[in-house]
Amino acid sequence: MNPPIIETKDVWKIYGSNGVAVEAVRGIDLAVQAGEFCALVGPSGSGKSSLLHLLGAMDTPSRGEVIFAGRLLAQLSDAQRTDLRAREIGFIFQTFNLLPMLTVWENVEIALRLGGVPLAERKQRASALLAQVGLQERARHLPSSLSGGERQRVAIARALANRPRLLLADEPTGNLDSQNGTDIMKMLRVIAEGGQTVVMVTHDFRAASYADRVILLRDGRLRGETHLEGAPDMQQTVERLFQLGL
Amino acid sequence: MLIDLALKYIWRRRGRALLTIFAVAVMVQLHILANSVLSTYRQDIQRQLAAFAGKVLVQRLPEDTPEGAASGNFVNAHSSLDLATADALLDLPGLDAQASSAVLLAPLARSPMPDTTPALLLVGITPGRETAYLGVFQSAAGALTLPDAHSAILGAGAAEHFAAQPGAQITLLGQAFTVAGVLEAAPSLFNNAVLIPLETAQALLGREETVSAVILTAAQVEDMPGLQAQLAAQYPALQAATNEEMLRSAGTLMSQLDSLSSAITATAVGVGVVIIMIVVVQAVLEQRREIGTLRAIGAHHWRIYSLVLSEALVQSLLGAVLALPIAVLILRLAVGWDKFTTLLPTWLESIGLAALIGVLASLLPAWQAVHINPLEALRYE
Ligand SMILES: Nc1ncnc2c1ncn2[C@@H]1O[C@H](COP(=O)(O)OP(=O)(O)O)[C@@H](O)[C@H]1O
Ligand SMILES: [Mg+2]
Repeated sequence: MNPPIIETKDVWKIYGSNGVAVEAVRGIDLAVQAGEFCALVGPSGSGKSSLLHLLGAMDTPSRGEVIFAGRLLAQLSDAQRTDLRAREIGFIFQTFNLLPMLTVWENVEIALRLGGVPLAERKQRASALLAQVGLQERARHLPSSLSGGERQRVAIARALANRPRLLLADEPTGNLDSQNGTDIMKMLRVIAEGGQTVVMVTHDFRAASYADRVILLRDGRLRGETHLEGAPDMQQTVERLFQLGL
Repeated sequence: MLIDLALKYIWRRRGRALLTIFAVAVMVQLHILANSVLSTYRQDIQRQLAAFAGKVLVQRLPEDTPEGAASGNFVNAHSSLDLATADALLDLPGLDAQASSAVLLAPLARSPMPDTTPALLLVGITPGRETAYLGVFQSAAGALTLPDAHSAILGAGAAEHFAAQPGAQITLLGQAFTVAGVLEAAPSLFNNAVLIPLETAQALLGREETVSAVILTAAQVEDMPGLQAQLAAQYPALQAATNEEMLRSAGTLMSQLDSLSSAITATAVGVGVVIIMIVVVQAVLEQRREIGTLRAIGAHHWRIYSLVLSEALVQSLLGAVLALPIAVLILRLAVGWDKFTTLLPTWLESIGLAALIGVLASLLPAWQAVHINPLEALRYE
């Protein structure tokens, strides 16, 4: 078997605020294979986001190791971790986080720029990415004139810009209605089927049912996991998660 | 680089940016103004000292004249020589008699700046020896000789003051004079001069027994050192200044001018830096989430730095660009001087100064921006 694209070994995240230590992630061992579509589910406050930030080289663990494609993140410099985020890891936020002053097209182009893509290629690729998420008509619009679903599609185009090996999404459907949420999930599934790895945090079982593998977190620990087959089936997903002790 | 983004951020707060640019422009124009006025003045001193090359100015200053009072200032109202001494000086061997004369100097109108050539300077000089004072400068109109007791030669500035051409009548100290000639444009000492016959000047000023100074020109340039030595030996009480000595004492004044203009420039830079720093620190606060997002999607520290630097630089450079028209306007309206040859070079230098302001002002906000964590992007509410 190939080495996992992302792996954690006994990883901890302890926040210290006002002298009170909050153990958000408590000794998690996780390995995600290339091409997997993985959903992290669990109640609010169970440490899902904290874990995702560790996987995305956005935060550093208090203890333990995070290994990206065989590279120990703790041994990388800040600049090297920045490069990883620019080129090898794409991030989709619950709140979209588009740059409000830039047009839809520029929001995608800037990610290509950060990835070091030359200007001529950027122009052509930004347009192609927008076409991929069905927004070529809105290229010149500002994010403020877009609906939530459209904004999240721009964010997906931006996250995919440098063809990252790993795509991380934190509650990507959290701010969307169910129709737009379903569209986004279908899009993520197509991306995973195309060979990119997707790790998604959600507390929405419908969203989780699109994944191949659902991992349950509670109180900062892994509580079990289940593999899903066939078409997305929310009923089946919920039943499996209850069996894990949800 | 993220210059396009920087421009958009500036555009987003364009009201504030305009005020900032205007404030920087006012600071930079202060530098332009001070530098132009002072260096124009400096050039004037240098050019008039150059016009005295090969001449010796002999004066007698009162005992209590402070050291350096004559620095860079050819005209000393306090100097006084009796006629016998003046005649004896003019009889020294080896002189170019045509270019040597006793002179009586009296300010007719004060200069707006202290310690500078009066706005109008009466120069009594022996007719036929006008070149002792006028030196190499040529006539713009009429003749540079005084044909009779009530004739006058005007410097270009003085001619403008009286709105007079050769042949016109002017009144000086209640006496009518006919203008014989007008001098070409020259340094202020010549530009502002009104030459009349020495005896007429003495009578008008009630100083029949004295003159202000004697200007001596050596017949041969090689005779200059001998002439100086002779003056020192025979007339130890008199001050004999060549243009080299005047140049040296003018150096003191010039270095004072230089430190004055440096102080003004330093103030302009300091205030400019603070203004831009305040504005950009505030801008970075407002952009925290966006900067966090940029960091999260892979923007290196240097890109964040370039973003903040661009915001500071764009505003400081636009300020410098705007400073030139402001400076020209002020010089035209308030001071009325329009012959500032040094305005453009000073302005170009200001562009460099503005770049310095931008770089210095960006240091603190850039340091803050670079330390924004990618997770800031996720903090909402
Ligand atoms: N920056 C932080 N500082 C202090 N505590 C935090 C911080 N981020 C998260 N936490 C705490 O860590 C725990 C896990 O949070 P989080 O990872 O956001 O959970 P989830 O995404 O599953 O809701 C919560 O108790 C939360 O309050
Ligand atoms: Mg969360």
